[in-house]
Amino acid sequence: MSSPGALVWFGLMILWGLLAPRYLVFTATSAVPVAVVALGLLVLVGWARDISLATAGLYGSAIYLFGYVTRHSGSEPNGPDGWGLPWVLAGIVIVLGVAATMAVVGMLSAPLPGVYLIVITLALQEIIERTIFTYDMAGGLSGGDRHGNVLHNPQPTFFGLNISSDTRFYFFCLGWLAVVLMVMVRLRHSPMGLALHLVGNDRQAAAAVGVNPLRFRIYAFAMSGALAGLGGMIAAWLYREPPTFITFTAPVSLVLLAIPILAGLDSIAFVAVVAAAFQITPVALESLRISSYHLAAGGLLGGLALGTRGLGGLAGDGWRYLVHGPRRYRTARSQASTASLRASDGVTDVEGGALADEERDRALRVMEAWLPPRPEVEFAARADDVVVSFGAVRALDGASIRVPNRAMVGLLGPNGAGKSTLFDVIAGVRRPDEGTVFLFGSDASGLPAWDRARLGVARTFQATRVMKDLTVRDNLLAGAYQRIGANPARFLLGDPRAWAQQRRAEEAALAAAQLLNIEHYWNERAGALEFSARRRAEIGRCLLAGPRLLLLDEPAAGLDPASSVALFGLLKRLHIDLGLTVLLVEHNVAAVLDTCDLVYVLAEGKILAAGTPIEIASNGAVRSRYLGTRMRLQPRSSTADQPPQPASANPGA
Amino acid sequence: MHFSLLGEVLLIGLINAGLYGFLPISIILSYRISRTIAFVHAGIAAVGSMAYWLLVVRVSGAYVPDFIFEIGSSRNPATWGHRPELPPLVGLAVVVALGGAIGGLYGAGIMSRRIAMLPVLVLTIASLGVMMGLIGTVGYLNVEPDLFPPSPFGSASYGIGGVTVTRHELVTLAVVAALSILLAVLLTRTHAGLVIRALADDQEAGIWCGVRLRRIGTLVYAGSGALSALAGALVTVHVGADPGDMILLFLVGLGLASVGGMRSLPLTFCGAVVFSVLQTALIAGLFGDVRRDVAGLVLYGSLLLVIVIAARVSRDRVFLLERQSL
Repeated sequence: MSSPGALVWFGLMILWGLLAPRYLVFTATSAVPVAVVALGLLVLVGWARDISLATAGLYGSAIYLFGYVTRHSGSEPNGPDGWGLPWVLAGIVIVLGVAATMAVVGMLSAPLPGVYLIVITLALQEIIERTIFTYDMAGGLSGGDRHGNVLHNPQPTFFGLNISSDTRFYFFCLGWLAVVLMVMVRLRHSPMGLALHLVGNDRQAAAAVGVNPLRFRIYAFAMSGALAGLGGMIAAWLYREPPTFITFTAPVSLVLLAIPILAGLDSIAFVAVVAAAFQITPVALESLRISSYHLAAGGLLGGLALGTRGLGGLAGDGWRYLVHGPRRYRTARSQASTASLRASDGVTDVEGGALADEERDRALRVMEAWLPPRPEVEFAARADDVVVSFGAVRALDGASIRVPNRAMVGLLGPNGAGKSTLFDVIAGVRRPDEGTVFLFGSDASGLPAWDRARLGVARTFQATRVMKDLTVRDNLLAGAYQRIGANPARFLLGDPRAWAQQRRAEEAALAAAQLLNIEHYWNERAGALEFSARRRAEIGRCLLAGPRLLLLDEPAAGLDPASSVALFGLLKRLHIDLGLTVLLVEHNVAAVLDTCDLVYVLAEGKILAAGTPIEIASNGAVRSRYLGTRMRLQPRSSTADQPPQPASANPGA
Repeated sequence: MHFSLLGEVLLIGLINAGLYGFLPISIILSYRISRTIAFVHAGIAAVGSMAYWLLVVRVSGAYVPDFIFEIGSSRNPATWGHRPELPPLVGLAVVVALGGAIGGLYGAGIMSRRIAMLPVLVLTIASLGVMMGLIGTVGYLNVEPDLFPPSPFGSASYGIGGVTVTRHELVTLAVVAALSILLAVLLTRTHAGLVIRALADDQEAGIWCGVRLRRIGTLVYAGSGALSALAGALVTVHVGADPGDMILLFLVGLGLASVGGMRSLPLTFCGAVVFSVLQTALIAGLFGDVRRDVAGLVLYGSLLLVIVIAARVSRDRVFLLERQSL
């Protein structure tokens, strides 16, 4: 609960400015730039789950360079150097400069394993320490320059207000922090904030709903840099003279990193609280001589002990307890809901928590309005002669598959047959060595996963991938990023039209939750849900992405037989009611034959057979190589209006 | 360019490479078993550095500053002032044992089955936290950074190619080179090395194959911790006891380990030699009079460039095939 928390914290800070002793007011003022920088780290570490150990270097650079570019060079031959820019212009230059530096780091490290990110940011910190910090015109070495001048940072004039006293300057800084907090809260609740969370949790899942993880990673780095630059600008005014560079060396990056980790990786308000505590504690307990090393150690290890949700998570749990009651009641509700789903065989029209007909109709209308128009093409997806090799292993060996529009297609096969690889090829996660993929009639072979998602392909994964620390609401809304499609800046600036789109997405998310029977968990953390509900939340996220083709990778994996039957019933209803094309991989043969219109069987990387469920159940090759000859299957009749047209199976099938 | 300096630069660079070579070995060993950058080694190196100084330097004064006694303690500071003044080689042995104990303790904690399976980001944060705790704690101890302790290998020096080289430098270089080769053989040619690599690849599978994760992890961390403490002690002979220096040394070591792809010890050692030669060349003025900030940019910029190129060459594009950065 970031917004109320931020408001409460902000109220306390105002009281602090009015009531605390003057030296503690100054100390609290020094927490403002630190909090701004730490909020940038929250975006990078907490939301995008990346890391930077160069933050102190960038923060310190911003202080020195802001002082340099705002300082007037004067007319004396050996006077201090500077550009004499107005602070507004200088601020823009510094903020954009630091943001661009971090964006480059994000780009450079993107194709590399994560461990190199640590190394690269550490190298950047070291380069900054060796260059900007020791540059003898910026004041990092001694507070002076090479001519022996003692440097001063020019103070801002702000609409003619006198902000020179400590208390006034405190409120001036608090104003800056309020603006940053407001932007952060808006960002967090905007589609962009949720997309950042999704990218941080799982890049593949993000790409599967149309979020470009590479771009968002760079956004996260740039935002983190921008806030480090802004924090540096405020600190330059605060310190008035350039502080020694020792206060911005590599260990200080770890102190800054410890702030969002202790606060919790999704708590805006607590980042500010911990930043203030980190500044005030060593001053208040001066006799203990608490070093920055110990602060960082305490923060990092404390955050570790509290888990990713940190102090903010603890506070959130306390709030939830007060408002919604103890967990055992919530668990009882969830169990009742699961039971109702099982009992209904997926068709939620039974008594006891299920949807009434009119509610279901209303939810379907909302979803119908949310989903993009379904295209009138013969095949939603077509993969031809796909070959994928892993070293000497040929996972796919010329497999071809056609998914008729508005059909429900099943893909069966033994383990290692290449089903998931074929799925990855169609979804764009993996590029084939040979072969082509057509989506809705156009060649999509060269498109990355997120661009295929924009064409209308959404997918789930074998292992359920939800954002465990976020609520069901957030999980569903994260899928809506590409359907909302508004410029992120419009959300940050509070454009009512952009937020109206967000509200429309929320309505659609609630409708999807109702259709999937998870609306009871709307404000629950996804990590606290039982497995089946998590799976449905993942499907709901795909629905919010506006799919025209839904790829489901073993949707019933890990479910008990009753829940599997219920889930397949639910999927069938969604397929019929919303006219969705579905391609699913599954090991539950009976469920696939009962629900699908067309079934492909894959073995050793090749299509072994393709046809209606009845044809597959009676296919000799399929029975001998996959189903077993003693297995008796009697599929229910197909619900398709017209028999779908399969791709020709390999000879000999 | 002053080519007349080239020979001396190469020789000094090669010899100084020994100082940079220890920590990358510890980093790679830990990384090979836990897929985590063990920042804790910077802390252990700091402990090694301070402990060696305190054990062998002959000065009066208390170990800990007065304000510690002022915090609710009635102990007499004088009782804390007796230094053992051990012979340097014995002092070094104690420091290595201490480093091994700290590393082993950390390894036993971090490589327990429950914790070892946590995400890399969490383990990295734990490592950073312990490092900061260790450095912060030894930072309280009273040492005189400008007073360099004696070498455990004696004070003899030799003239080689017009350059004075101490026995300390030669032994350090020899030990690093020998360890790089020995551990490379251990990791690639022995069953123990296979077990370590197997755990790095898939801990769960390793456990189900009967590998004792915690025991092996503790041993690897103890060994690498001992090496880190040794590095700290040997560097202290050159630069004095300052915990902050150990962080810098670790950062360079981490960069060099990355040059070796976080796996190749011989390649890492070669990287250390090149880095050391370049640093010596910049300081000695092989490229003329280079400003300090420009020298820093060239040195660490080159290291950054090599890391990025090496990582890109050694791995395919993994961005979308990895679910998270860390």
